[in-house]
Amino acid sequence: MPEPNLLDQEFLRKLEYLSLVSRRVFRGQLLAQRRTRQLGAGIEFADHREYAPGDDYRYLDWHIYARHEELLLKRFHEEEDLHVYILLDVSRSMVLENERKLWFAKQLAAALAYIALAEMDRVAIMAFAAEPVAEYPLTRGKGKVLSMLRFLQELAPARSATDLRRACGALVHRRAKTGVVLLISDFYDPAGFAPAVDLLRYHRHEPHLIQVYERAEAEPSFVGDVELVDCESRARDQATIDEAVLRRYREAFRRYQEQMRAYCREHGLACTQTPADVPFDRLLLEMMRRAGTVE
Amino acid sequence: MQFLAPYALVGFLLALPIVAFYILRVRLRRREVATLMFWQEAFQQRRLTAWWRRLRHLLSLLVQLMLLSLLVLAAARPLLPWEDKQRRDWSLVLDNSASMSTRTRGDSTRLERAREQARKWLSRLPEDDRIAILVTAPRPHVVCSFTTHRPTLRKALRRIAPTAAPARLRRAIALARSLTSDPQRHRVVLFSDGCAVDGQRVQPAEDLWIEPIGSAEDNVAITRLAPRRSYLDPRQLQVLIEVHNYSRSPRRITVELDLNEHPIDVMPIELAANGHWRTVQEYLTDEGGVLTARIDDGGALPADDRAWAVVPALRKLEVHLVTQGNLFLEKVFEAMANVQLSVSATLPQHIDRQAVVVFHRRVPAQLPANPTIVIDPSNDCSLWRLGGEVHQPLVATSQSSHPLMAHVRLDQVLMPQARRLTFTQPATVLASTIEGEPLYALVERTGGDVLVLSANLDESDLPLRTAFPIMMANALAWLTHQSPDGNVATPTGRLAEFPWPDGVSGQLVAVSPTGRRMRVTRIASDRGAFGPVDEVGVWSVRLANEQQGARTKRLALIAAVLDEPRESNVLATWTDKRFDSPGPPTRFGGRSTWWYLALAALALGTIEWYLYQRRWLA
Repeated sequence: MPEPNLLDQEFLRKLEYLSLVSRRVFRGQLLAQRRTRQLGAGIEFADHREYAPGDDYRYLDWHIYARHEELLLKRFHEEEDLHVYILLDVSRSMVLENERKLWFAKQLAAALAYIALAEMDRVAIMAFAAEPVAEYPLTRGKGKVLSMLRFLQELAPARSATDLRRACGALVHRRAKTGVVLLISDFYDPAGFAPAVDLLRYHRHEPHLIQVYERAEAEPSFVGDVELVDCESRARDQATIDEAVLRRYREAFRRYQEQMRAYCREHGLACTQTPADVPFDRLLLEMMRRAGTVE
Repeated sequence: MQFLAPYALVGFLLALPIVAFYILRVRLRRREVATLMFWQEAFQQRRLTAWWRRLRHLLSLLVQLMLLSLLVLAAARPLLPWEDKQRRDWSLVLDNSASMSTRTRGDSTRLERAREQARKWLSRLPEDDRIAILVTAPRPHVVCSFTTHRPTLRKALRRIAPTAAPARLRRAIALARSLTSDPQRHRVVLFSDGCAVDGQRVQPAEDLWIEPIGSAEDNVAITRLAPRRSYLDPRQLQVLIEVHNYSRSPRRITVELDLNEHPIDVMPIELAANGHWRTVQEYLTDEGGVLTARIDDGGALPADDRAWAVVPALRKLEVHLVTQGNLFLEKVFEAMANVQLSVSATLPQHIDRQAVVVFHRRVPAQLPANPTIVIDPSNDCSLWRLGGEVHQPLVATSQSSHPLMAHVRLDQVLMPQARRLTFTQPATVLASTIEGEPLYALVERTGGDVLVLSANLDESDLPLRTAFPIMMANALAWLTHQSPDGNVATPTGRLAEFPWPDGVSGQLVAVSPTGRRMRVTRIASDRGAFGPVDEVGVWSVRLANEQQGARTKRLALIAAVLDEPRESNVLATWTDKRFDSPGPPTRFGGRSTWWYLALAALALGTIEWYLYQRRWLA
C-alpha cells in the first residue's frame, strides 16, 4: 500500500469533486445544509400553534382569525450555523495488521469535513481511543481545509482500546452546541455502541454512524488450535476453531451489524457500514445518493 | 515372530520427528484479533475445555504413532509362528516343449493354458510363500528364482516362450528339487501335457503335484527326412521320408518335397490310424541346398508338419592315379561321376593340394602332403616298413562302424596275396587278418590322411565286388571331408555341430529361422557347435560382427527338426485322473499379516482424517 498522504493533489481533486457533487446534485441533503430544528425569529414559515397569553401579537395569524375566529400563532425557522463534529476512532483495532482501516477512516473524515467547510458549516474533529487523544477545534470556512487535512495526516494511532461512550461523553460534556456527529469507527467496543449514541441523542445531537471494518474481520478463515489475543485489551482466549465456530463468528458479526442498522432505523439515524478496501470516494457518492433518496 | 524385511524396522525412527512435532504443536499458535467480542459469542455454544484439548493432542499423537507402527510393521513383513509353519516354497515347472505348442479346441495353445494355470496358482498361493519358475526345454532351467514378489513372477511367466525341443520332465523335476535345502516345505508343481521323452515315468508324489494340460489331439508328423547322394552315382540324390499318423482315424495327406523352394515331388499318401509311411525316392541333381518336406493338414501340432535337411552340392574331385597300369583302379574312379581322373606313371612335379593322389604299388619315400590312397605298396616309405608276403589272408576283423567301412563287407572276398606292413606312426586298422596283420589302415596326419590297402588287386576278386567302389567312394569322401550322407538334421534340444569354415577365425553366431542369434563355440580346430537348438528350420552360421539385417554371408547351414515321436504323439496326453492336483492350498483369509496391518493403517488413517476434519483430533 502506498504511503497515505491527505495533502496530495489527487486527493484534493477528489475532495473538490465530491464537494461539487454534494452542492449541485444533493443540495441541502447531506450534512450541514439542512436547517436546524430551532424555531425562532427567522423568515421561513414553519407551522402554527395556539395562542397563549403573553405571546407577541405580531405573530398572530390574522387571516386565520378572520376566517375561522381562531387565534393561532405563526412560527418561523430560526436560521443557525450547522455544527459538524467528526469523532474519529484511532484505537489499536484500527491498525491491527496494517493501517488501511485507519487510512480509510481518515479519508472519509477529511472528505466529509471538506464538504462541510465548503458549505460554510462549522467543523470540529476529535480523535479518540479509550479517551480523546487529539482535537481539531471548531473551525469555519474553506480556508481552514489545509490545516484540517494536516491535522488528520499527522494523526497517529493510539495504543489503547476503544471507548465510544467516553469519547461521546467528552463531546457532550463540553456543552458544545448541538449538531451532526459523524462517528467513524469499527465500533469494536465491548460496551457496545448504544450507550454512546444514546448519550449523543439525549443531548440532541444527530449522530451518523460510519462503521469501517476489514473483510477478514467479517469473515475470518483460519482454523485450528489458536490462542486469540485481543489487540486492545490484551485479553486471551485459547480455542479450537473449526468451520462451525467460523460460521457462528460470521453470524455474530452480521448480527452486530444488523443491531446497529436496526438501532439507527428505530431512531431515524444514518448508518453506513463499509469494508476498508473500497474506494472512499465511491462510498461517499453512495452515501450522498442514499441520503437523497431517503430524505 | 520373524520379519522378512527387518531393515524396514528402521522406520520406527520416524517416531522421533512425530513426537518432536507434537511437542511443538501443543504450544498454541498466537493470533492477534481486533476484538474478542464476536469470538466469545461464537465459542459460547461449544467450548473445548483445556484438559480435553490436551487429551485431544495426546490422542492425536497416539493415533499417529499407532499409524506409523502399523506401516512400519507392515513394511517389515512380519511372519507369525503359525504362518512360518505353514509357509511353503513352490517350484512351478512349465513344460514349454514342442508338444505344448499344440492348439487345443479354440485358439489357445497348451503352453498358453499352462501359463494361465500357473498365473492362477500365483494369485492363490499365500503371499509369504516363495515361488520359483522353471521350464523344461530346450534344457531344464530356472527362469525366475525363489521370490515372493508376484509382479516379477508374472513377468517371468509372460517371458516363457514356446520351443520345438523335446522335454525331459524328470530332469526338470530334479532341478526343481535341488533348488531348496528344506525338502519338507518344498513343493513342485508340474504343468505339462505329459508328451515328453520320459512322460510315462513321471508320477505324482508328496512333493510333486501335477497339473495336466490339454486333451488328446490328432496329429500327423514327418518323423524322418534323410537325403544322401548315391554311392554308385553321386548325382543321384536319395531321400528317405517317414511320416507317422498319431491319430485315432486314418488320414489322407499330401507330402510335398522342395529343394531350395522349388518343388521336386508331391506324394499323396494314405495313413492308417496310428500307422506310418516310409519311402526312399531318388532324384537326379547336382544341386545342393535346403531340402524341405511338408505335409498339409498335419493336425494339432505344427512343429512337425515340416522337416528340413541340407544337401551338399555335387563337387568334382581331382584324383591323380600314379600307376604302371591297373584297369580296375582306373575304371573304378572313372565310374564315379564326381571324380576328375588323371593317370600317370610318376608323380607330377606340381599337383593341387586338394587333389587326392592314389599310388598303386610304387610309392615315394616321402609321401606328398595330399590326401593319399596307397594300393598294394611295393616299397617302404616314411610311414611304414614293408614286410614279407602274407599268403591267403582272411579278413577276420573290420570296423564296420567306421565311416570308411560303411556298407563295405570284406568277409567273403578272396585275397590270395597281401604285404605285411609295420607302421612307423600310429595307424587305425580298419580291416586285418586272423594273425592281426593290417590289410586296410588309416594314418592320420596334417595335410592329408593316408589310406593303405595292402592286398594285391591283380590276384584278388575285390575289384569285382560291389564293396570295392563303395570302399573307394568312402575313401574319397573321408579324405575330402565330403560325406555322401549329407548333413543329417540336428534334432531340437541338442547341440548342433558343423565343420568350422576354412579361413575363418572370428567369432561366429548362429541365426535361428526366426532371426534369433546364438553364440557359436569352437569345440575343435575343425568343428563348431551351438545350442541347444530350440527352433525347427534352417539355422545359418555367420560372422558375429556383421550387422544384423545386412546382406551377410552364410558360412554354414544346419537344419533342425523335431525328432522325438513322443513329442509328436499328442494323443498320449495325460488324461488320467490321478494326475489331477488338489490345486493351490488356501490359508485363512489368504493374505499375509502385513496386508492386514496395511489395511488397518489405511482404516486408521481414514478415521484420523475424518476426525481431523471435524476437529475431534488435532
